[in-house]
Amino acid sequence: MNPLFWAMLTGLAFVVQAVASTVLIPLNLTVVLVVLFGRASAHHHTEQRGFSGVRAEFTAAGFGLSVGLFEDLISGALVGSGMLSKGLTGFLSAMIFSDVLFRWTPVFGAAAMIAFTGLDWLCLLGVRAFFATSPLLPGAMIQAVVLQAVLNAMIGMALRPGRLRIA
Amino acid sequence: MGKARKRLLIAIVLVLVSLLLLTYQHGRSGSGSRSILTLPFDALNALLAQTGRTMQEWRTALEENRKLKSDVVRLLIEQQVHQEVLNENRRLRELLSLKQSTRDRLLFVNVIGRGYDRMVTSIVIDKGERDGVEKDMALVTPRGLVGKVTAVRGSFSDVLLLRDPSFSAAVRLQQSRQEGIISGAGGRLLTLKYIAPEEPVPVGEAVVTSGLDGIFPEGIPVGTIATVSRGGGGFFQAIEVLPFQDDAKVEEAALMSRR
Repeated sequence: MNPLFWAMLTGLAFVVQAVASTVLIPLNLTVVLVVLFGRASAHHHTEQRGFSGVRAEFTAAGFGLSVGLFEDLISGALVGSGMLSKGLTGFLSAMIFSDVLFRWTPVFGAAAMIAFTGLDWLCLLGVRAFFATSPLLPGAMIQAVVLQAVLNAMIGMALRPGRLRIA
Repeated sequence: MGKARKRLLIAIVLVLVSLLLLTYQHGRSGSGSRSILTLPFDALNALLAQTGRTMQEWRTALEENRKLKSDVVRLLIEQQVHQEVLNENRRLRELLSLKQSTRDRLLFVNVIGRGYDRMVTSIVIDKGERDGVEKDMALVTPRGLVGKVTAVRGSFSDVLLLRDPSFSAAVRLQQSRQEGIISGAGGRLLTLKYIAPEEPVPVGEAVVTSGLDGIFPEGIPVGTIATVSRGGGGFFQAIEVLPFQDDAKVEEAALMSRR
């Protein structure tokens, strides 16, 4: 899996997310993408050196930051909110898959997706609470969080990312 | 530096970079650098939004198309029903005109079925003895003779149709006034009997009842001459008559009795 593959996957995730969010349901595929990258990064560095060190986290955080920046620029929101959430997602997923979870199972996949979707929203809400002035609609927001978490959990259960590598 | 410290450093840098960016933007609106930075993304965003709108329009168009199709089917059915009502109205008006044009007593009836007896060609009407129907009354439409009543029951009656071989009526040619007897032949055409070979019978001439049989009132249209054959050396011509009224199309009719 080379960088071009991840770039294409990122582009595809953005297109699907944008189209589906406009006409169907609000997806959050970028979280899934960053978590998968974090896991692939952790496995790559562990396989190469026997231990991951912090390179896996560094790479995954960088990838998350890039995806977050891209997302912020596309959405027209404050640049930084997506970077923070996706950067943390990449960093934490790489850390978890380096030291805690060594095998991807449907249950762990679903749990990870729910946790990282929640983290993504938590960062977004925190940033908006401090830096934005537009009002928040709790009902609609909770509905969106739950829906995205459930959808991502289903994706996490269905995925078999055993062969995904970062290079 | 230990692994934990390195991790902490990465996390702090990550958070700091994001917060610095956010703080820098806080309170500023539409800075030039950001606008240039977001230009390609704005274009992509517009493209995606346009794609979304187009898909939404397609969905709406598809739904509208489906609804319009069902509306068309419903309207066609309604149109057919209205056409049926119009046709019935026209037939009833014709029957009414028949009542105005005749001096005979008329009783309006509806055809409710084909006859049950397979040996004779008959129909069943919705009026019977209780309505004043009598045997041998003539069933007519504004077009012409249909048949005669052969059996009367309480509230319905059987009518023997013109084309049954056991049907016969005294008729005459409308122009030449030649008299004869018309009978059914089992098929679509009727047989006109007892016309001498020397009498000219033009094809297309109308045949009407003569009233000489004491059953049918005089002057009811029966049909037109379809074929004439003088060959064969018989005593009479072989003449076929096409009835004015196709019995398969009779829905409303009138029973006519001589005063």
